[in-house]
Amino acid sequence: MAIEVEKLNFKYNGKDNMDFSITDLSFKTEENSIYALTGNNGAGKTTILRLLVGLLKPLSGNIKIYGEDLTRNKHHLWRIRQKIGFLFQNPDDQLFAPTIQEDVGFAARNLKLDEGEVQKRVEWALKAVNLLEYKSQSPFNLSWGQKKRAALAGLLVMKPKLLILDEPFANLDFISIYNHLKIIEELRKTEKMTILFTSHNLFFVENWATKVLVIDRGRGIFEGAPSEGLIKSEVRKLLGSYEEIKELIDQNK
Amino acid sequence: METTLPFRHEEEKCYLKNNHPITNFTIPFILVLPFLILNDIYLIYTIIIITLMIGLSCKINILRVLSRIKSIILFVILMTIFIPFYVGPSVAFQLGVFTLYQEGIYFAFLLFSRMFGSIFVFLTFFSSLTYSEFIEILTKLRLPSMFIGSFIIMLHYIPILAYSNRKILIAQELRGKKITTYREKFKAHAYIMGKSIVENIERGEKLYESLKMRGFSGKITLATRRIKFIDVIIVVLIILMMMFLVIIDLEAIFNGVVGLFWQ
Repeated sequence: MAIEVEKLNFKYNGKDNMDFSITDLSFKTEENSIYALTGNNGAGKTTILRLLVGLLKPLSGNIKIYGEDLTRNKHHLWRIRQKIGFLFQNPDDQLFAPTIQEDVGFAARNLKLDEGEVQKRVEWALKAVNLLEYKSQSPFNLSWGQKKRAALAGLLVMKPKLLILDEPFANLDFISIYNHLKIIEELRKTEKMTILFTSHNLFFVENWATKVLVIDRGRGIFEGAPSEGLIKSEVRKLLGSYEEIKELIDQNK
Repeated sequence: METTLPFRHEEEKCYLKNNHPITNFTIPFILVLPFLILNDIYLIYTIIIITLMIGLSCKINILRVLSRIKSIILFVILMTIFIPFYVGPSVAFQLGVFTLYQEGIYFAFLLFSRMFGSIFVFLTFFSSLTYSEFIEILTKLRLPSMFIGSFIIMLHYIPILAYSNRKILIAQELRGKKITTYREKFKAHAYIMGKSIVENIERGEKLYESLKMRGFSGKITLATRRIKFIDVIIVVLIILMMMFLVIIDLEAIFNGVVGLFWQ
């Protein structure tokens, strides 16, 4: 299994009086699969991702990444994190170096690889995301879609086994989403990566993910194949459906 | 990045880029140090002329350097403008209750020239460096890695902060706010700044988390290059030129040149 989450509980600052919490969350992700987390705004998707990479500490429960217990290996976090590529929702939160090639090479250098290997990986990662010709440019001058791809390249140099993507399709047009998805899908196949992503875009959740977990206020309300889950009445009621929204718009015209 | 920070773009042509970044970083210090120590106004203007000639011949965008000076020159003027009223004793002019002293005027002019000269020389040579070369220098100078890391994050957020402020101002203008005077612009920026700072502290936290996820342990490692023999030669030549300029009588040369045009 790539990810095993068992009876995960979390509250911000551990306070009972806070509205938000993750309650008894359990799920498993198979290796080389595409797993989607979906739910409304504020459902807890990003919080779950941050728990999975050890940026937040759960109150109770277990998280295993490729068999290694993240909750019990606090001193070996970096070792476990080397297997994970975590893409932030906003690429400006990730890109920091003066040039794209330096930003992309950052993680590879932290892996203490020799400079030749770093350069090789940087070229490979930039080629994979179609940004090789921009390597000497500042990340600040890129478009949003290019920034997202540059941020992705910065994770690929680590050759992660698991890619965790927080809203990878946010603020991208339909065609850009497809192009973005094509790159990730190609990497999944060639590098045998597991993908876990959050998204509101039900079209891509339904057509790309092999499994989906629907979250409502920190609780999992459905886990299974997207084609089954997204037609369930409680899920449709929670997330809204294309037909339902169209009907509402027509009524208000 | 283009207008906010005083660095060259990666693709921008500049003949000084063949030098090692440390050479281009050291030259302004060698040029500026003598005129900060010696009370020689002719030396200051000689260095400014030399820097201008180097800048123009090496394709440094001098207009951009001057536009950057424009934003700080007001502070330089403010720091020197009151000196003639206080440093005496020989009276130059009497304006009502205000007295301007000869020594004060000379001292203010010297101080202004020194500050302007230093800023001009530093900005010109720093404009030959890219942002990554500047970071490389800081790393080579063995500054604490935590300082370099913080500096990188700070430099990264300056253009982002400026850009987001500009966007908020445009949004305000589109909703009818009229910003016509400098005072209004200053006030509008002051209001936005609080929000932007809070927003960017949160962003900074996220950036730190993203660095941690990629193995950041307090040390930033970037690719560096070696210093060549020609770099050492350039530095030595600049030092020799400065020694020569200090020895010769610049005042006589300036007077001679001015005399040629005066007659």
